This record gives sequence, C-alpha cells and structure tokens, in this order.
Amino acid sequence: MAKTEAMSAIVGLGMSDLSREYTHTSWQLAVIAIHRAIKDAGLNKDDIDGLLINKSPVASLSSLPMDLQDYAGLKDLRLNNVVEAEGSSGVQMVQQATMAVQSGLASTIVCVFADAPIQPGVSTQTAFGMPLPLMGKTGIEAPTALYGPVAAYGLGARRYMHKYGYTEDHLGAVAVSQRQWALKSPLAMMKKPLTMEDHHNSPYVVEPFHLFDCSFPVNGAVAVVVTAAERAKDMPTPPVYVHGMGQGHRGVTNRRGFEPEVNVGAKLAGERAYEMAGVTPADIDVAEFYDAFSYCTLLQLELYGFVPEGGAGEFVADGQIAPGGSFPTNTGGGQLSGYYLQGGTPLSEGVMQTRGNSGERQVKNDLVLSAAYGGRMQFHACMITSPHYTL
Amino acid sequence: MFDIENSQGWPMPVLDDLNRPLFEGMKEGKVMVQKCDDCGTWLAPSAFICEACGSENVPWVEASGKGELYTYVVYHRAYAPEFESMVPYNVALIELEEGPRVLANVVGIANEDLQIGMALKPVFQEVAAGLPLLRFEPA
Ligand SMILES: [Zn+2]
Repeated sequence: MAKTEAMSAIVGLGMSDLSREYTHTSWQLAVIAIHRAIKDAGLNKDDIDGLLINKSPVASLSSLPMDLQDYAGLKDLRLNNVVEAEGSSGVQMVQQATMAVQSGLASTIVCVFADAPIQPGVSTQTAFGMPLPLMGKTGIEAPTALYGPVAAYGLGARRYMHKYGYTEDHLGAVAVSQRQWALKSPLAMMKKPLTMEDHHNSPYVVEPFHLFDCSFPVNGAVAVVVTAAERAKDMPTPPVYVHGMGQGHRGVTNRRGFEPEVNVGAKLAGERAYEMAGVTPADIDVAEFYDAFSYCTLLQLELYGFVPEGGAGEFVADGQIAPGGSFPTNTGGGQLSGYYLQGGTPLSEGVMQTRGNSGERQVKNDLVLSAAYGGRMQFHACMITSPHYTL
Repeated sequence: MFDIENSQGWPMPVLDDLNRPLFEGMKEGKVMVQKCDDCGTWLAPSAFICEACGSENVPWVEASGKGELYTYVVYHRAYAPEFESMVPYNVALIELEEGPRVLANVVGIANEDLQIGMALKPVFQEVAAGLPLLRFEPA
C-alpha cells in the first residue's frame, strides 16, 4: 500500500436535539449545531473563517439562507456557500472544505446540514409527499399520480430486485440489521427490536416498500468543523482524518441499453476515493450510507465494492452487516432506524465511528467509508476517514 | 409542478414547448417520443437535445406504442386526495419497442399480476376533461 497522508481533518461535531415534534426552524437548529461543533472542537466562533450550508432539496432557500452567517454570529468569513447537491451535499461539504483548506482559501470551516420537515400541521408524509420531478420530467409525473420520492425509489428497487432475484426478505434483512444497531445507539429514534415478521406485517407504503423499508425523518441539524490535517493532533477531540473522496453522477438515461436504477454513480465515487486513499474496498472496516430506503444499502454495498454485484442480498440476509457480522454497516441504525437527516446521517455516524468513542456500537475503525447520495440515487459523494494521519 | 387552476380534480400537466407534443399526441391517440435526426437515437420525452450526440435536432415522432413493463410500483396510500379512490394503484416505466422508456399507469390487470417484461399496448383514458391520459394495458 502506498503511503498517503491525510488531506484534512474533522475536528468538531455538533448536533441539535433530534425531534419528531416541531421545536425550532431549520436555521435555528443549524445555529445550535454550529455552536456545539465549534465548542466540541475547543474553538471560539471567531476562529471560524468558512461556512458551508446544506439545506434539504425540498426546503425553501430561505429556510437556510446565506444569512445563516449572521444568525450564527460568524464574522469575517473567507468562504460562505450553500452547497446544493441534494442528498449528497452532506459529504460534498466536507469535500469542498477539504479543497478550501488545502488551497488556503479558508482554514477552519463549519459545514452544517439542517432540516425541519415536521412543522405545525405538516407531517413527514406531507413534507415529502409532493410530486417531484424525480424522473427529470416535470409535468409528466403528476398526471400519473407519481408523488413523493418513495415511488421514484420504488421503481428503482423493483428493477434492482428483478435483476438479482431479491425479495422482500432481503429488504427486510436490511431493516432488521439496522434496528439491531439502533438499539445500541443513544441517538437512534427507533428503540424497539424489529423482527422480519414485524417488517413484513408493516403496511406497504409504496410497494415494494413496507413502512420499515422507509427512513425515519426528524427535525435536526448536524455540523462539523474541518481544518488542516496537521492541526488535528493538537485539538481536544480524537482526529478524524480525511484520506480519500470521490463523486459519481452517471446521468439518468431512460432508454434501452441503460439501467440507471441499478448502475448508479456510487461505483465511480468509490473508485476515486479508494485510489486517492491508496486502499481497496477490502481494507474498509465499516460503511455509513445514506439509506433513505432499505434497498439503497444493498445497492451501495455492491457498488462500493464490499460484495460482488448481485451478492448483497445473501450477505445481508446472513447477518453480515448487523452487529457481530463481518462488515458493520450503518452502525447508528442508519436512516431507517437511527435518524433521517439526509447526508447528515452518514456524516455524523462516520465521524463518531472514526473517533472510536461510540460506546456499545463502536467497531474496528481504521478505515471508515461515509457515503451520501441525492436525487433518485443519481448524485453520489463519499469519503474515507481514519484515526490515522498516515495510511 | 402541475396546473392547479385547471385541475378539475386531477393534476393537469403544465404544458410548455418541451412537453406539449406529448400531451397533444394523447388527444389524437398517439404515443409521441423524440428521435434524433442526426444520429437516429430514440429519446424519451422531453428532450431538448439528443443526449447521445448533442444534436438539437430532436423532432417528435409517433412510436408504435408497443412496449414492455420495465419496472413499477404500487401505491398503498394516496399522497393527494384525488388519488384516494384509485388506491391501490400502480405507476410504471414502460420500455417502448423503439427504446425510450415512458412513465404511465398500467390498467386492465390486477397489480398482483404485473410482471416485469410483460408485453403492453397503449390505451387512452380520460382522467379529466381534455386529458386523455396515456396508459398501458396487457397486449
Ligand atoms: Zn443524436
């Protein structure tokens, strides 16, 4: 393995309280998380010279505007930007912060995701249930009654299941595995054990997805502080060194010869990140995925190279991603049983696992992959982190 | 996203220069797609350029309407009140024999009997006045 040195480090993590009740606006949640992250890093707000902001793609721009700087009391920034790459932004922010640190554009950057889909009188179903141009065909979805991301993902899941002969048992195995992790995580929202029978007996939302195949949205915020790798060893928290990163956006081609539902950009993203870090998928100890729906974990296990394509169903059914399995995955319960904060979910759990102080759910963590995607699994970004400065 | 003013109890498409031929075709009982005049690639609506060669020469042409089921979902809850009476209903991607995939409901068959790969043919159903919507049924 070629020796590689870290590109940057995540030295602060802050999260607001997570809630299924409306308590604060998005920007208020963001401010809370930003200040917790700065404090966690042992810094003062005046040490921060960069801000990267990620709002939900279905939230209004004004819910988390550039003025967040002022709401958070941040002065004299040398970088301030809304990163709009849909669900992949949680990881893309750290990538952009890394590049900014390396180039000298800014030195100490807060990256924040915040969302408050649950509002007075607005349930999560309403918040995410609108017609969305997820097929890239505005005006065509609505008359066919294609509403909500759940159906756009369901179309992908059905095709993927058909290709490899996966059944609802394979989807259920993801949900059951992640619930086991959630029971070990104090942050996870789901606190009751889940059996395959519970999964199958839960109502269909949009078939092939049962209720427990779908993520659990909350109101909340996640912020991290990114700085130069060399500074991390002098900071109060265990360093989280960034060693590799990648993106993959293959484009959705809706015609014969293409299978955009299965051949998503995760593979491109992973290849670049592994190359950058000088590692292979076999070297990775744990993966934290954006897993809005159960099948997304199966597909990412394959495309990030942890199992052969078509091999994830059996792997997961065999308990390999659950506690005690050979490849711990979504160790905070993921978005199905932990908390759905878009790219903030893999980002936060990836940082906690890399720090090595995650209590009962802590696993071997020499190399951690954190991956996020947006759209209907169109836009992928990942990063490889480690507690080691040199690999 | 859709024309609420003229919804008539159904989400009507907002017609623009990019998608108008698709819905105008439905009124004439035609399945309209696009085909690149330069490289011959058949394109799913609505294309502004040919994603294969980049040509802007992508006229609308009538497809045969024959197709097969590529993938589908079945809704078990309604995300808008106008769909409540349809639940459970499906939404599918249908691969036309020319290649493009179009989004539509499959009717005339129980949801449990849908099979990826099954042969389908078009049917136009008036879901609201002035919107004979392109749907598919078993061929
Ligand atoms: Zn062409």
